[in-house]
Amino acid sequence: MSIFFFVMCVWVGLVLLLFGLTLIRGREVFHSLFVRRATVGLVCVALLSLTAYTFYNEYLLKNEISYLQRMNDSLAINQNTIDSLLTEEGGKDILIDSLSKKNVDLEKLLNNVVSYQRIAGKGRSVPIIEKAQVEVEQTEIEIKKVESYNEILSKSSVKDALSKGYAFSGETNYFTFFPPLDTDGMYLDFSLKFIDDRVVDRIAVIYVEIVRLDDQGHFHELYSSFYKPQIELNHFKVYNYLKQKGSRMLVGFFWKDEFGVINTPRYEKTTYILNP
Amino acid sequence: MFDYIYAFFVEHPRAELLFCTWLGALFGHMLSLYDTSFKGCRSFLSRVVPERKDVFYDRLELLLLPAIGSVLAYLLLDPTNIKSATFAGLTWSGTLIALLKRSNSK
Repeated sequence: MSIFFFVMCVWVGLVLLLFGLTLIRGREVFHSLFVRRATVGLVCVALLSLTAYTFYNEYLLKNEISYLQRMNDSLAINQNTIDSLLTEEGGKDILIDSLSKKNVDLEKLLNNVVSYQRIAGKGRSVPIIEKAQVEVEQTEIEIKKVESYNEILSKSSVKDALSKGYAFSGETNYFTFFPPLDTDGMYLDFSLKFIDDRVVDRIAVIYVEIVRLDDQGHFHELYSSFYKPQIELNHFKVYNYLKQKGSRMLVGFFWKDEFGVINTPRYEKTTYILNP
Repeated sequence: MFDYIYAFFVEHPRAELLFCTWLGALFGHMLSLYDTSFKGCRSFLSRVVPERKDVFYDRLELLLLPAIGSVLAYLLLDPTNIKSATFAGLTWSGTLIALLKRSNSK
């Protein structure tokens, strides 16, 4: 609460005190010339302090609106940055932190604006505030979307388990694979859902590998990543290496009782080919 | 107590505006009491509620006039901030008092 508010409350309080006195004693209070003159003085000063308080809030509101406008523009996180971070280890946490901080800052500003508007009136700032409120809601949606992606595990902690390779036979039927809807973009979004969520407790890691078959029939790894499994939908984003001819994506998982236990753990996988 | 009142006004902005309108009407009424010859609506009140002490009519007038002025001002002028609410109350209170002065002088 500002000094203007305090001063206004003091003068208004004095007028209310006089009101209380008049209520008790009636008009005889005003027989005194001093009381009559004091009343006029008190009322005028109370009105002035109230006006000053309103002007002060209008000034604060104007400043806060221009700050909100600048902040809205500067805090915008580029979609390419979001996509890129989702393909990096630790990127998901960085993204959630950035988006949450952005929302906290915007909401704090919005609360200030709303409290100044209460005193100073809405004025012409409504479109800017509505834009900021929409931005807050969209960021909340973006945070939920980012949280739905699987956490990328550190390669150094799990790569040794595959140092001697892995074994596979055919395609697995433990999950339903949902291929990417947009295959022309820079990144591919795809997901999988386990038929029975109870198997998630038995799964060590989800492994995604993109390889390219060359003319000699050798496979070259273009991308690989390990993910922490989760119940319900498992959501992934990878760079679109599949535009390269002969490339294919292997999506699958390893069992806990084999991964890091036996030399060639079984890879329960499915294969997705875009450009054969 | 002060924090409770402040929190109440934060949660109910319309109540805050109505209070400010009443405050403006009260200011107007207090200013009218500067003129000791101003009878206000005492003659009307003494016909409605006869045979009472002068202080009773003073109290009733002090409660009624700002209340009526504030309700009229709030409904008709629809103020949007505390400054316009206060001056809306002051304006209507002044109008009512001017009408009463005219009827008293007749």
